[in-house]
Amino acid sequence: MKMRVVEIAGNLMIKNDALAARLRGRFAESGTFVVNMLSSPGSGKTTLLEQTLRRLSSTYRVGALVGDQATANDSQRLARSGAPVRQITTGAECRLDAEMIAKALEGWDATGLDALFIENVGNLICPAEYDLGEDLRVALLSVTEGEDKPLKYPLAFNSSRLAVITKSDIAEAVGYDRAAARRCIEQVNPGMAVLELSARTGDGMEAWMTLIAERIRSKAFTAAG
Amino acid sequence: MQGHAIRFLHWRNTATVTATLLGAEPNEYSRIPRINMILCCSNSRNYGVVARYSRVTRGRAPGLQSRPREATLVPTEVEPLHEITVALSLLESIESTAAEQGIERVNAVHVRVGALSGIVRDALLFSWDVATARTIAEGSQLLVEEVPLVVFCERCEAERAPHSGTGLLCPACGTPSAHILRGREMQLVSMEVPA
Repeated sequence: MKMRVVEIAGNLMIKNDALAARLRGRFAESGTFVVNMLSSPGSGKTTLLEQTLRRLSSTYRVGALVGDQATANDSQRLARSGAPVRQITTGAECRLDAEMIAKALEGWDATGLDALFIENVGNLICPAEYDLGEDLRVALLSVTEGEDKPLKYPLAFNSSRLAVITKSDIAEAVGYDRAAARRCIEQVNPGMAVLELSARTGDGMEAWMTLIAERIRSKAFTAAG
Repeated sequence: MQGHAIRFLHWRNTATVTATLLGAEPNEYSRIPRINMILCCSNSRNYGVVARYSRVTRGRAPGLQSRPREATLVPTEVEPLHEITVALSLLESIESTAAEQGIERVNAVHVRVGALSGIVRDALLFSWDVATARTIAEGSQLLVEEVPLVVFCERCEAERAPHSGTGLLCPACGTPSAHILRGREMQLVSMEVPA
């Protein structure tokens, strides 16, 4: 059988990137600061987010989108903070993409929010590839996970602007090696900002909250200008 | 990827199918040292919840919708299978190009995959077979060109290929680099179709 070759030069991300750009435009207009949180399962995204929403909601209008493969447990936990929370059940998909975000925002005036937090699916591979139109991508790493995680998942840490080391209250008990963790982060993203905190005890939360509040204000200021 | 690739055709029969494919009796499950990849297929679509399982013991596997009759699989570390998502995205692009150009059959597909994309070649090939079942690309060959990681080292002022597992460290001078030149690719290149 005679064959012919059809060129399809195309990055697989073209469609997602276009949608993400559209989302970014919407959020720029409304002055909504958007955070995309990446981590392995069980590294404390939900606990950190719950505390963050709780602390922010007295001053700002904040909301959250939560991606989970199967259950609605996380969004139920987050709803306790009083902030509006929407669940995205991804089923077979191992990450959120821009289309899922756009769909989840339908019929929800998220543009009225000062800040929107997106809790990605617990996974450090796939979510790293997908732009969700966020302003800040944060990679979480708990002290229990092994300091070399950034080396195993370089793209997740390279594409994020901020690394947050979670569960710092048990760092000593699990033999967490701070210098090694910093070294590994530095190897995949030189100069990356790193915060260390415990959402449970509140240690280190101030720096995180200050950073978020500053970014919320500067986004609102830019939109107003 | 080492070991067996198992394709489950029925939710209810996972344990039985595992045993059959691995040539083990139900009472021998605990001797199966490692399962790299499990793909559960639902009836409505040709893919479902996907995970890599690293060890087989007794218990219940999260993500499985129905309990297999005998022993089940307990993941010690569950990761969603990235490759099935990639395979489905590839298929979507191919189907739309094919529809535009009136192509009804695809024999081979060429893709370029970077070292940083996190794609495991064998897992992608396996996912491809599953994703393309009953589509215009059924039985097609997926040809994967793997692109190594290359960074620009500012200190050496040269392109360098970091050793795997060392992040973006320059192998010559040990300086980490933030400039990834190649290795993030996830590209469709071309497809071969009947003339």
